[in-house]
Amino acid sequence: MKKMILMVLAAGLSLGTSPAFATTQAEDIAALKAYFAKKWPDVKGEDMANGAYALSEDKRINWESMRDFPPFEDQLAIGEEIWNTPFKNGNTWASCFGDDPSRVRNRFPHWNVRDKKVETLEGNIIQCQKANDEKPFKTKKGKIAYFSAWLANQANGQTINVVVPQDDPDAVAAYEAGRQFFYAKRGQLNLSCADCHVYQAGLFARGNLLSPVRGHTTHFPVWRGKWARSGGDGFGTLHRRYGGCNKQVRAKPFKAHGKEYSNLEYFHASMSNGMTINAPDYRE
Amino acid sequence: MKQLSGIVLVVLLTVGFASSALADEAAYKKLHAEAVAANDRAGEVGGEWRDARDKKAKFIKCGDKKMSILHAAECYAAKGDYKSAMKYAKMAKSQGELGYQQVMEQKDAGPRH
Repeated sequence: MKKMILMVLAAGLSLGTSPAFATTQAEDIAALKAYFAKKWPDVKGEDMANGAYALSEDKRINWESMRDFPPFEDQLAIGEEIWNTPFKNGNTWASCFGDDPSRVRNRFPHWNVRDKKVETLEGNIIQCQKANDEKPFKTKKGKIAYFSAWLANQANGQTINVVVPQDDPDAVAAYEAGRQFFYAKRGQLNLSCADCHVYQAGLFARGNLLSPVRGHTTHFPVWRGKWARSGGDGFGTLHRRYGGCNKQVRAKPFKAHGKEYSNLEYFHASMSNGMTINAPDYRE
Repeated sequence: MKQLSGIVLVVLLTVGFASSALADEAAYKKLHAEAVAANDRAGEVGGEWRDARDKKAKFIKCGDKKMSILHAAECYAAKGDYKSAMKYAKMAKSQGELGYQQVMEQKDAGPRH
């Protein structure tokens, strides 16, 4: 009898502490939607994608005034020029992405069944350049961000729908690795992505109002005042932001478009499924 | 006799300082190797911390420059300041060990909302 009680107790404990790997993508999205709906009943639908600006009237006024005269128009024009400029070998970007630039952004991130890996838009831009013997762009800012932002801009209004094929264990594993990354504490400050963008979203970290994870990827690449002030032109990709976040918690960042951040993007972008692309945008 | 005692004292002191410096250097080298190993181990599981030994880190000042903790240890050792060198080597080792431990503890991280 004692043995029986111990076994039941052990089973109960193991259930209580088991990781949340049993949930699916749809369940994860539903859980986050419910969590934020309860947390901020007044923030409706798409406004969640506006992050801090959906939560603070003061910040919203500043953001709206920036959007009246967006600081990134010139870079978008460069992005368009990139699309229209053929490679030295005569091929065009259409040889990699198809003829319609408005149908590019929303295909990423996706699972590449043949190579068994997550593909990101910026990763594939670099891949396309290499395949055409072009010198690849830098991975996080500059032309890659202008080009990616212009492609995202062409897709504005489309609904994000990142698909994780549930019948492909490798794809599910990549999604779960991305989710584990998002919820795992890292760095000297021992903070996870979720600590800031789920549990403490809406609170301040110094002068910054922490944004909710849902809607994050709708407006990337972004133009950030912080990046402009640090001597750059303000533009950066999602993986630039990942690296910055990791550094802020005093963790060593991973390589842009490597396995870790690509898997993270797979999960992260999934959490914005059902929301519309609205890129690029201004952020503090 | 007095002169002889003086010479003996100087020789003894010199030998004493030299052997102490050698001991410090040996202790520092051991600690440095342990710090490298600890951070290699953390790096293998993706758990290295920003300031432990990254070339781009600007965390500890040595001379006019700011650098990673381990680079600061090396910088102070090169100056012969083994006390500071050991302090930073120990700190870098600790960051490597904690980074590894953190990854192990967070293996099954998932939502808790």
